[in-house]
Amino acid sequence: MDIFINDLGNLFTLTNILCILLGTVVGMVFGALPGLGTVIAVALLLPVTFTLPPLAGILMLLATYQAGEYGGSISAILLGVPGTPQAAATVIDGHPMAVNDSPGKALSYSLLSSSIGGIFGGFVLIFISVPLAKFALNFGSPEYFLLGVIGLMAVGLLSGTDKIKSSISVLLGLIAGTVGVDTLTGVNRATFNQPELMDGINLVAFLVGMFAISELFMMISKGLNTSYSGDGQNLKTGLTAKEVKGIVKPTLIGSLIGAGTGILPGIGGGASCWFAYAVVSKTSKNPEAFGKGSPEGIAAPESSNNASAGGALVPFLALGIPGSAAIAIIMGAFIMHGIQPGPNVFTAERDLVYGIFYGFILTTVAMYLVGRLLTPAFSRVLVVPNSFLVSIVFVLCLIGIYASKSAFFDLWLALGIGVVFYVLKRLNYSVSSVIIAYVLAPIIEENFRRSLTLANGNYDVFFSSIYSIVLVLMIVAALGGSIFADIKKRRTTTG
Amino acid sequence: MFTFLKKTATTSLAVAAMVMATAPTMVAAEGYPEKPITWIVPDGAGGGLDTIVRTIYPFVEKNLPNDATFVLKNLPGATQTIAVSAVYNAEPDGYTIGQASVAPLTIMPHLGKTSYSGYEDFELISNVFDAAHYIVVPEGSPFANLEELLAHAKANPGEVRVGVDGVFNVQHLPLLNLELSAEVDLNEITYKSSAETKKALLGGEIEAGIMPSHIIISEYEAGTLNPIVDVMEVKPDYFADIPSLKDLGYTPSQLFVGVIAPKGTPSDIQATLAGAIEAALQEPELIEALAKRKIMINYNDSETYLGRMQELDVVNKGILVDLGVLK
Repeated sequence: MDIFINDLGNLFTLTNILCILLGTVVGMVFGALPGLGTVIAVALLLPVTFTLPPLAGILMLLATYQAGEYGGSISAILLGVPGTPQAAATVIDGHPMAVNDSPGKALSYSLLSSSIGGIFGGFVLIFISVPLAKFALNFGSPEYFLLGVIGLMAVGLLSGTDKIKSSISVLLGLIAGTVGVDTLTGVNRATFNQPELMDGINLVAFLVGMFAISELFMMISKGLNTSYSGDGQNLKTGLTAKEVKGIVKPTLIGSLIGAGTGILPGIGGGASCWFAYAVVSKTSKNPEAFGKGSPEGIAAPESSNNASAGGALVPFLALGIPGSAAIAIIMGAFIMHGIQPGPNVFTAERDLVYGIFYGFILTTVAMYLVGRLLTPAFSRVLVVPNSFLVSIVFVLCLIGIYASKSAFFDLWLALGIGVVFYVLKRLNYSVSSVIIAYVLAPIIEENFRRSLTLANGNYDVFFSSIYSIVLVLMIVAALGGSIFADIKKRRTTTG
Repeated sequence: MFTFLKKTATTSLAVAAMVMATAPTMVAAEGYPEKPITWIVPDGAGGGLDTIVRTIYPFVEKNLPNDATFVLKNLPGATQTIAVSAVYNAEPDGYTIGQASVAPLTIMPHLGKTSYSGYEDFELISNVFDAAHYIVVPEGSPFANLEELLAHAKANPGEVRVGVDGVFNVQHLPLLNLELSAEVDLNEITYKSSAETKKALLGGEIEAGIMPSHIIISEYEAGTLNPIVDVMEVKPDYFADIPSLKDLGYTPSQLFVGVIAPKGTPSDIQATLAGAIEAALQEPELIEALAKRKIMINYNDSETYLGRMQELDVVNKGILVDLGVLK
């Protein structure tokens, strides 16, 4: 157990703590600004780490990453505009709660579940990272394809009663997800000869267009001389013991799902929040509260995206495989200091790795404390009259989109997407179905085709491992279950 | 500290003297630069190439006259062609330069995916570094070397799966060329990044994969991944014992990254920039920083850089013609 005592002295230095605090504040603010998000915050602080000792620099970036995951929920809850892709699911219940009940409370639910998710991810990292990383390698292309299909089925659980509109939303998302150079053949698909579309529709432009710009149009059309909560009431942020008890189960489910998807490189937080939301909404005792401001609907995605941050460090540290864009940048900080993440890092850089493990828990604590401090200020955003809010948010959106790729094309793209989604929202189409289909489309398509190439066209590849068989059985069970439930429902209504 | 400053001053003086001696017309370069120079980086902030340029540029600044400053502009995407197009469209006044690898200059134009027609549309200032990519097999692989892998592939066409990180790119073309010259049929599996290829190799999804040398050092030391052949021309010292395609009698590919400028940039400005880059790459502090990151500095002057580019362009075009992709 010497690992526990060994490094705590190295960890609690003034440099480390200041770095963690700086990372936390930057991450939280950038996460909260629509379009800027975690990746840009981490990239911005990367050059600062060159002059720092390795541990302090890496902890600063990890603190930024963690705090960004919570920060994304701040704008998701207050404005209905997710600051990061990983907070997209938080909009569904977070925003209604903020508008109808209490913005302070909604943020507190998010902060608490994010922190628990972060701690959970940290413990996964400390105790089982090596075996878990080896386990994750069992998930190859066929398994990724099947996981993607399961994710798409979760859309069915999310969407409302109108199955046709929901299917149209999914199709739109899938189509948007196929734009760009085809990874397997190099052919341009629906790029209209725009080089900016060759890597696909920029996720930031897509997300900001569909959530933020369309929401701004909604606010304008509802009249600008109002504010969300004019009287400044209900800004208190405390939660009662009973309220905390209510989110224990969804937070644990979210943490498990988040850590589980986080360890799979390439799936990450963007999909895990939807998995968590779908499972929790399906297993909840109050399913009818979902979509109207259910605390469980905030706790599930928020705990999952923070747990996935810890999970994503597992394959990165143990195998040198970065699982997300933010982790890839953090890998840059390692390489800059001459450290190669991979199988030897646990022996060659033992002090550093354990410093990161415990420091990661510390970043979560810092996130909670800074979050507590800033939350009351953030929740006052909704007191701001909409005429100010719309213009400020619009400018922030433009900055965020431009910062992601420095392409003016993306600004027009986001505006166009905003107009389309304004119309779709007015017609009651599900925006969340579009985004999850968009995120999953490349995972499903590329892994399906890659699996068949690997097997020289033989479909047996999808039943070739115990993991793929389990996943196929899950799909069959979910399909069978819903068909059975539907038949039963029809019988009872007709007979 | 003072010796360090003095050293820098002497180097800058030496460079200035050299530039003056070699450039007969000083009209354009006199007083250059008068304003910040834009350096276009074909990578997102925090990406691999971005951090390399960010490490190098202060040293180039130091070696330029007139308190030169650079403004870095990140234009990622579309296999670097967005950034290279921006250089193509910039004024050739010496105030825009760009970093570019070989793919946007010797591959993408042949695929008809660029507004410019090839490397000929640019001034090639100087090459900065080279990269090596290896065919890698996982621990416990039946193939100890390239010959064994090719022999097995010859006997079992389409059975050996080799991962690459994209189609018609710096990894895919050398692999296709190897297949053509060794007369074997490999099953090329496309991944989106080297990280994905690494995961597939470790997970046993593929028999071999092509990986950049600097991200497999830890695995090589631990024995989980084993590089068997370098597909590029230049070898890093830490893999000096591993043969390259050239050693084995096959045509190697090349992967080098340099600085380019818009066509028509005054030649004396080009010389000033090249001199500053050359001097920067000799600074011990920069050499140490890049060595730590396993970057192989390989300064080539404009002429050598152009020669390598021409040679590679012919090879890549030939592969695409042989494959029937290009008529």
